[in-house]
Amino acid sequence: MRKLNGLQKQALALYKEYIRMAYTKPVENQVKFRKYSKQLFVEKFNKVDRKDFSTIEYLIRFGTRKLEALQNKHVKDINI
Amino acid sequence: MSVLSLASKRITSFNTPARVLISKRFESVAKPANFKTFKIYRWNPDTPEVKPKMQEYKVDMNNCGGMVLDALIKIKDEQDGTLTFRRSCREGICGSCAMNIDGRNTLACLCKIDAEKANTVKIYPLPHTHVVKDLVPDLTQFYKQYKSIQPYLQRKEYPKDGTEILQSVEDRKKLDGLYECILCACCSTSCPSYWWNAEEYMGPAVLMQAYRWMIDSRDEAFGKRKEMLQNSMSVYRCHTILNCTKTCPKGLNPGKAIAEIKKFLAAD
Amino acid sequence: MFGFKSAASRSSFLLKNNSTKNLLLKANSNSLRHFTIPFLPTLPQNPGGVKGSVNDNLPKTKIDKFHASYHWNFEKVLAVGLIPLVSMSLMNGGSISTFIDLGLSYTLLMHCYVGFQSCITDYIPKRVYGTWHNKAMYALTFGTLLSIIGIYDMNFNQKNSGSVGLTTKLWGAKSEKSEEKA
Repeated sequence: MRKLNGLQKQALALYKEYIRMAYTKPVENQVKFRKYSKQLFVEKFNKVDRKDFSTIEYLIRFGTRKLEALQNKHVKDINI
Repeated sequence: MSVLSLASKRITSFNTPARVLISKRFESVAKPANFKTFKIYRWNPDTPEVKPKMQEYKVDMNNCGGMVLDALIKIKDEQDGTLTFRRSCREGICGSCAMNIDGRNTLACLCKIDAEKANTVKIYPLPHTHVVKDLVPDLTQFYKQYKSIQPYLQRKEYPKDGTEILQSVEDRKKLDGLYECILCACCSTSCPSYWWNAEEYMGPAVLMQAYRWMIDSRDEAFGKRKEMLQNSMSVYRCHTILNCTKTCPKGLNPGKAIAEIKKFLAAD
Repeated sequence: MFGFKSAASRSSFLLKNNSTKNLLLKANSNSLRHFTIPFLPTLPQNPGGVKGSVNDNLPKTKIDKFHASYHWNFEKVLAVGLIPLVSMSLMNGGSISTFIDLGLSYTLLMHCYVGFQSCITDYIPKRVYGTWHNKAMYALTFGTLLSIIGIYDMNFNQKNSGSVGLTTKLWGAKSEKSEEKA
């Protein structure tokens, strides 16, 4: 496998954090959160060229903001 | 007879302004089209892999108001509904439509489209800000900084009868040229020092408000306000570049306010 | 000296220094093209330059008069002090006392020192470069100390004739050469 560059590792770490976030939610909704995270990353992150740094940085910033909002313990459900 | 004549008179008096209007409309149709090109910065967060680009729009100046904001609204109405910008009052009092027009930070609603000048007008979002979409910048940090200077009256005692706190005419006069600031962020985003150190340097707009609360005769937190600024970053990254004063669309002078703050701190 | 540092090199540096979890919490580079110094490593920045959520307060600042008002006052005192010193030596055209010459050189040196301190806080801020900010400050102080010795030598060494004398010599050097040629 190709060696990942710094930004790719950052993106993967962010994805991991999303999945961790999903497991803190009520059990019946965890699947939804996981699905949502996967969709977000597949739809947005997969399109981008691996050397398009400014876009990836934007997406990581955007993703972190979104994660912060979702991590709030009052967020209990999500609709896809 | 008299009734008839009255009626006819009425009709003519109704008709005249309407006729003028119609003839004016025909006149504008008959006039040769006077097109102006607007080059506008476009970027869509939904497709981040597409790089930002400049899009051209042509607007006939005969059917358009005189300000840049009129043209922008016309473009959004008639040509491209996806063009995004903030606007609200269209008279320079809300500070929503701050953007970089022909290399200068101004309010689009106060910026005339120059008839004689070159045929294209270039419009960008405020410089060195994160763009949310098209001409909409992210001003989170700017508002946070404004919050951090505590822009409200602070004092221990209020009049016991519940009335307003009185102020002499001279004291009120000191606030002229300061309270008019609408926080459009034109000055802060034009300041090179703010570009490099926006995380810590307050920026001209916020510092001018800090000064406005410092010299308010009704406010009693002068010492506290000075202490907040007494560090190497908050004020002293101002190197009197004075882009702020030059660009202010309301004709205010943030540069002078910062100089006054420095004087206060120097005597501290 | 200066250049746009590519995002890749910035991030790869981050990776060497932090564990992945730390990295996620802290390291989110700006999409703004930062004007950074290429050979200096940078610290991870908050996403969008904003710390915490929209409603969080900015961190409280500490009172630090030595880097704030005192620094600024010192800057102004030096600048004003330079006016008579420079104009005096200009008017006398080289024949000034060693004492004034010494005063001029040291005031000028301190003026440069304080000015460069401002430059370093502007362009090598602690927020972005961490310890490199301090290192730059030490380098500046070291250079200034060397210059203090140099200026002392310039004024009290038998061979030399002070800063004004040196400037006069440099001024005359070209004309002497051209005279020789003629």
